[in-house]
Amino acid sequence: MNEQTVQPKDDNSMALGSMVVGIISIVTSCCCCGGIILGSLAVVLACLSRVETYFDKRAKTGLICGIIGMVLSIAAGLVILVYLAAAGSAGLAGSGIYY
Amino acid sequence: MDIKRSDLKLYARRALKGNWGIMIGATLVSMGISYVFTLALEAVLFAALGSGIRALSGLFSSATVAVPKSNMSIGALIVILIILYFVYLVAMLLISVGYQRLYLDAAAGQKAKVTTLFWAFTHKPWKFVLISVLIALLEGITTVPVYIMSLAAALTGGSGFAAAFLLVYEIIFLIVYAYVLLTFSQFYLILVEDPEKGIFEALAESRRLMQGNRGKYFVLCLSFFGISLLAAFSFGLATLWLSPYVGCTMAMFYLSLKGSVPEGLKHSPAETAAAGAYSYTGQTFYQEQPLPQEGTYYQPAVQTPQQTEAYYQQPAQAPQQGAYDPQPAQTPQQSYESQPPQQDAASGSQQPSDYQ
Repeated sequence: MNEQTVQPKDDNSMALGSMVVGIISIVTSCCCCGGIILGSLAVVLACLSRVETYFDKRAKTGLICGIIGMVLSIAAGLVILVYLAAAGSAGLAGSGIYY
Repeated sequence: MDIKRSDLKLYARRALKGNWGIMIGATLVSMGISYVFTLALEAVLFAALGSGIRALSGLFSSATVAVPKSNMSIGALIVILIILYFVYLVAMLLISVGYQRLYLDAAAGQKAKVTTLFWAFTHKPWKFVLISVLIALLEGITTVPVYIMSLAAALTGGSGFAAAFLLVYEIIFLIVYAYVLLTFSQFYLILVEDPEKGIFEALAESRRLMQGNRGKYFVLCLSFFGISLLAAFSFGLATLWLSPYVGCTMAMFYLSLKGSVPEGLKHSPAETAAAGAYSYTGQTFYQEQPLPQEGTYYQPAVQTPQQTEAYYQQPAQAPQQGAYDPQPAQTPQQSYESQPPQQDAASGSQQPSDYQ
C-alpha cells in the first residue's frame, strides 16, 4: 500500500547481473558465439529475476540488451556466411586470400 | 489447486531469492563429486586395460608392451571398477534425492543449505536405492517385448506383423508410460518430505493428489520448453539457474496440491517491505505489530502523500462531548487550519494536531 514512500531493499542482484551480461552480449555480438551465449544468459537471468508482478528496470534493460545481442550475433553470423558464399562464388578463395 | 501456473513460477522465484548462491553452490559441489568419481573410474579403467593388454601381449608374443604397470591383477582391478561404479551410481542417486529435498526446503520458505544435498545419506538411503532399482527393473521389463519382436523380425528377415506390432506397442507404451509418470509424479517428493512413509502409501498419496491435476502438471512441464531452449543457447551456462528454478517450481506445485504454499510467498517484496517484514524466507513472515487501542487514532508508520491528503478530505466525524466542537462539522483539513499547528520542539516541524 505504501509503494511511493517505502522502497523495498534494492537487492535484486540477478537483475543487475542480467543488465551487465546483456550489455556485454551486445559488445561481443561481433564474435559470433559471444552474443548468443551471453544474450540468452541475460534473457534467462532477466526472466528469473522477476519477483514482483512487474519487471525491474535493470531486468528490462538486460532483457532488451540480451535480445539485441542475440539478434546482432545471428546477423553477424549470417553476414559472415553470405560473405564467404559470395567470396567462394567469385573465386576469391582460389586467389590465396584465405591461405 | 487453484493457483495459476504463472503464480507458481512467481512463488518459486520468490522462494529462490536469497538462495541462488546456495543452489548454484550445490550444483557445483555435485559436479565436483561427479568429476572426482569419473577421474577415479578412469584411472582404474586404464589400469585394468593396461593389465589386460600386458596379459594379452604375453600370450601372443614375447615383445614387451609399453603400458603402465600395476601391482594388482586384472581381476582385482575389475572388481574395484565395478564396486567404484556402484558407489558412484548410489552416491549420485542420493545426491539427486538431496536436490529434491533442497528444492522442497526452498519452496517451503526455509533457508536452503548446501549440506542438504547429502540429506538422503542419513535418511533411509537404501529405501531410495531400492526404489530406483525397482523402477529401473520395471522399465527394463516393459522393453522386453520390443527386444523379442525385434529379434524375431531380424531372424525371419522382417515381417509386416512384427513392424505393426512394434509400432502399436510403442504407441500404447508411450501413452501408458506418460499416464503412469504423471500419476506418480509426486511420489519422490512425498517420500523426500517424509521418508518414514511406506512406498505403497506414497504411491497412493501421489495418485490421490494428481487426480484431476495431470493435465496441469503436463502443461507446467511443457511451459519450461522455451526457457530451456534459451539455456541450451547459452551452452548450458544458464542451467545453473534454470535447474533450481524448475525444481523449485515442481516443489511449489506439490505444495500447492497439498494446499501448503507459504503465505509469505504470495506477497511481493514491495508489499512485504511495506508491511515491515524482515525476511522472504522462514515461516515467520511479518513482524508482529501492536494493534491500536480502541478509541485512539491509529496512524500507520508510513503514509504516502496521497493517503495523507485523502485522509484530510474525509468528512469529519461527530466530535466527542466536551472536546473541540466546531460548528458546523468541519473536515479534518478545516479543523487543522482553524487550530494553530503545534510546534515540534525537537525537529521544528509542524504536525497536524489530530495526530499528537
